[in-house]
Amino acid sequence: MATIKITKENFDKETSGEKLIVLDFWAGWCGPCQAMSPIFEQLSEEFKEIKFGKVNVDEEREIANAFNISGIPSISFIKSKEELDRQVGFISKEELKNKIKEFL
Amino acid sequence: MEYDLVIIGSGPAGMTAGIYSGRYGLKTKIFSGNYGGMAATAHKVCNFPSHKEITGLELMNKMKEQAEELNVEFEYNLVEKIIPEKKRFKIKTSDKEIKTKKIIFATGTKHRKLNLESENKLLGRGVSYCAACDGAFFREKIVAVVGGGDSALTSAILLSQYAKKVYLIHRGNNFTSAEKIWIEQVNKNKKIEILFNEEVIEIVGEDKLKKIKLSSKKELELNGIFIEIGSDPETKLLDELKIKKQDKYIKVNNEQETSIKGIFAAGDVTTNSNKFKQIITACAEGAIAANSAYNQIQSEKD
Repeated sequence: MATIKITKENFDKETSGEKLIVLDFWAGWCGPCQAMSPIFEQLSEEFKEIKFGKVNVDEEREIANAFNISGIPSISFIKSKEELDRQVGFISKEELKNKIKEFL
Repeated sequence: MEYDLVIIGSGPAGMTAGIYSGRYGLKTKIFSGNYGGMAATAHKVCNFPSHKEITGLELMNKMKEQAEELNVEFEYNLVEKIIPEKKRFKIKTSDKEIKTKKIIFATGTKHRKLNLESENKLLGRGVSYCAACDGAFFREKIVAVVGGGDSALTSAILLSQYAKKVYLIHRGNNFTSAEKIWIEQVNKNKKIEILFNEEVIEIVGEDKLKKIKLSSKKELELNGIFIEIGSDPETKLLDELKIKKQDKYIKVNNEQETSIKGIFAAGDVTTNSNKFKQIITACAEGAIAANSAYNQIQSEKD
């Protein structure tokens, strides 16, 4: 499954399921986000059974505020609306893969 | 898969080394963790010749584009280990191993931490090391900057554009190591309150930063704290090989070669360029390193 663009409108619907959703908080002006992005896309192809959402923090300030995001890239792991863990800053594909497996 | 040259780091030094290496026709790969390095986090670059004003990220994107046109490969991944072999090096990442004839080490520097409890836990939840990256999250909020050098003062000035209040916390009793122009700007900025002779002794918060405690027992309620107390060279991968250093920096000669034959270093991580941490000096070192690696490869042919 490709990544889903998360907005105020679809946020509740996408994050309320029992299956894991991984959210990537990013912005166009952020260098490390640019490095994280292709890795995130690749993993969304490798783990088709779960959802991968992208949150543009400039466009979706309310969501970013609700998560107390103050630095990006931030990758958040959510199940049934509950945040299980968060990873701030660039991580390698393997590290992110392992994190995902932990919460599958 | 064997490469002529593997460059570790994608800041100005690594990118320029890539551009030169590509033009020499070397099979080249750049490993990039924090894309664009420290330069990509500069909100304005005004002293790079040919650009009157450009964002750091834009400048790094241009360098990358130029390198890619010369067939340099980019991989967003972290190198875990360098293993010297006979006339080759093995490079290990978490998912594969590749071989290369030469290495250019351009990992730059990393921000110093206060090493307080909760500092890591609250990273990205109020704790930051980069005002240009994260400043915009603090519109109309209260923040503090820790440090007394140029980067602390410029961060405070930048943050005053967003935040309603900026505390500048310095353990000394004046700003001896900062440029005069920044000291003047900080002094006349009404949003900035300077606290001299203070140290942060505790960072408090669960889901997000709540407050900090200072050495004078004073407490400040905060939304954000920016730690700007300098940086140290990122040398871990080479420390394992017992590379020669001087004051924490990788020692290099005029050819940018380290104490290990075949490993060159360039940019903020080295002892060269008077440790003047500038984009242009990093580029220059990257160019020299690529040239030296090329010459060495040529001399070892047949």
